[in-house]
Amino acid sequence: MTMEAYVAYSAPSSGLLPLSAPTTILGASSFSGTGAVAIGFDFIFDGAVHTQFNSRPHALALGASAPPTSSATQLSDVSTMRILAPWGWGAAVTAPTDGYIRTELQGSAPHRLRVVDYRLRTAISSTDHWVIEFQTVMFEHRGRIEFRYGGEPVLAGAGGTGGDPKIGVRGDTSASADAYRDFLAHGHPFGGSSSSTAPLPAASFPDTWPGAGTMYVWELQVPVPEEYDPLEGTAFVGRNRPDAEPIVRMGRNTNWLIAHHGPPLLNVAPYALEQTDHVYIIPVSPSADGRDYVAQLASYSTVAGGSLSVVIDEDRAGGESQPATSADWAEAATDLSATLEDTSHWWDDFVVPLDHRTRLLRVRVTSEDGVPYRVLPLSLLLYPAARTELPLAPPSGAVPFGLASLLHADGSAVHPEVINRCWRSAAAVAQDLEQMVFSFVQDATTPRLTFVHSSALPARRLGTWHPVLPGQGGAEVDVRIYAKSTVDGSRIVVGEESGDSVEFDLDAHGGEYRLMTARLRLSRARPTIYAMAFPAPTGAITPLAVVGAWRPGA
Amino acid sequence: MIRPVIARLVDIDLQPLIRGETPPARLEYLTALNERLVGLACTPYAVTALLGDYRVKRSSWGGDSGGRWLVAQRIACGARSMRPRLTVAAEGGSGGETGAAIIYSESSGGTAADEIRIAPTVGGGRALTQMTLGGVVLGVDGADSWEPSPGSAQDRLVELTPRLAPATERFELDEIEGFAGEVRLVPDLSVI
Repeated sequence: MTMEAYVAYSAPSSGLLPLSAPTTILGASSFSGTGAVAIGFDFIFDGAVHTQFNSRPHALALGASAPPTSSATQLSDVSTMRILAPWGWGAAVTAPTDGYIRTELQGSAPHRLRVVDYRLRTAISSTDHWVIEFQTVMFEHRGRIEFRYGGEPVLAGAGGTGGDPKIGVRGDTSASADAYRDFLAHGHPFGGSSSSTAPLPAASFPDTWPGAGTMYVWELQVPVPEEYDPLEGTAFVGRNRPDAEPIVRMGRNTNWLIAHHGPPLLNVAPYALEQTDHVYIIPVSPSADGRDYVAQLASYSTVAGGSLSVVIDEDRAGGESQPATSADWAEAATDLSATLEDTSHWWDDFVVPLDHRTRLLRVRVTSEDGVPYRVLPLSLLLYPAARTELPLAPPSGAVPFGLASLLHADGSAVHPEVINRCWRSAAAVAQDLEQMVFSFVQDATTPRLTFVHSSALPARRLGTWHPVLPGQGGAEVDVRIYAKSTVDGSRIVVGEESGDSVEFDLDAHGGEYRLMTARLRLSRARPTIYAMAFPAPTGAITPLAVVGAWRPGA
Repeated sequence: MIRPVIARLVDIDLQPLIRGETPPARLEYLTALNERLVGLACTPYAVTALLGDYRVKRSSWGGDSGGRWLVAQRIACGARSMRPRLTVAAEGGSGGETGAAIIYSESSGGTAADEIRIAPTVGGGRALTQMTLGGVVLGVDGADSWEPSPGSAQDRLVELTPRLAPATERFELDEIEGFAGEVRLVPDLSVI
């Protein structure tokens, strides 16, 4: 990499790096060179490998030779010399009694760094000068360079000039006349002849001192790809550090999350007895991303080798009550049938396309051919199918990454939108897809569980769950019940032990099942959740479903 | 080593990570973004607390003797194990179930025992349903013990297959009323 591949920028800094056991390579009151000092690793700069440096107070030269003496303007004189100059002021000398150039090798391969630590005076005068401290840091990894600065300069004596320094790095100017990367705001450039380069007013010091809160950084800019496959790989590629082609890697990781994030939309273990026909009605809220869902069904049959059929319908009618007519149920998965290899059986995965307006699923499991054997669905899981193509602009707001957006990185800078879009798109998907936290479902054709009022036992336990939402204390869960009551005034209460609760008032509504939803805030990531039924006098409650669903971004 | 982290999904702020003028193309930005994406990919999904009636699988209730309940859970990237979190109910008297809760889940070690037995922690008889009983209902955690080569049935963490993509893990249950679990991550994502 030549100098054109470097970007230079200023960044917030914590100040000087602490040194544990530095080696002093130049003592007080000196402006001579340190002699050749080993860097300790192969430091790549300006397309060349360097293993040594030699520094004077006003500049560091890579290689065995010292930089030009005394005058900062002479830093341009030796065209083949590669120079790092945090404060290229020609009159710089190490401080009179406690000055130094020190150095230390830190870290372990392949992330070592060489720190060169300076304490200088800004003038030849040993009595009138400023004392300043700064560091040059060379990184083994990708040849990064940092200039770090100490606190406010300390004035010694009556005064003294601080200088109009050159701050920057310089490559081999015999190879490229443009091999400078300077900070003009705080100095004057390496380029140009000594006589034609106008110095900054010396009086501007110490206002021009960068200070401990700033550092200057040079590093290789990240490469922009020439080709880009927006959806490559079935595994998350983020397990690798983004060293090679980092923009490509970030783009792929983002698209991978958009395509593969797959929490459980629905997961139930129906409460039922073996019988020939089953119907379950389960509240759901599919993603606005227009996804298909994969269904995994386990069933039990009293006859091995028998056949079952499964039909999944979705209700888009809206409102609270169950669909008034069969027309309100839309078939989401066509008739599926399977011949059971054994009494207990995992079905082959099948795909259920669901509309985001769907609020109820109806699952019908039937023994086929009129054979009077009994069946029992053991569990049903639905999760988002992995995308094989990326949507252009799904409703969640997640925008996949394409080459067009990558090209915002125009060879010298990465547009902030590249980073922002990666992050926001991936996070939007994670926050949009609903996850089922707890569930109870029973058969609607022959409900086994009906709570009849009893004055001796007015509150009846419907269920207790112990779900886990790792690291997500404070989550808000939508509690959905699908139930009916024979009389007005019945209630179902769902809550977290030692926490909040929500109450569902169940009136008779002509004996019709109703869908009701309330939001419950969970204080813990490992809550205990309870549901209690309170049938009104002379009445009874029949719950077909009690579920809790979490949409992180809701 | 790349240590997976759990993102706090409820706290994610969708504000831009970088504001202002066009910055240089810095590896520092992209490394920070990569860590956030790893967090999103490895944050475990909610492990649905399933509530069923496992009596119907027992001969005394007309089901097949010794039958198991088949259930599944969705598992995100980077998972290594799951600590079972069960719901059990106690009648409070004698005569109920007294056997251990059992999870069948494949173990991969040099020796392999797929059976995980979690002994009941309640006194007296244990009921297999809480619905119609007025007894005590408890949450019971399995042992927090990683044993990749179990030689016999024991109380331990459920071994999961570490993956770099979400997957469905299947379990077979017996004598368990409510089933969930806490997913644990691999210490180093780069070795998967």
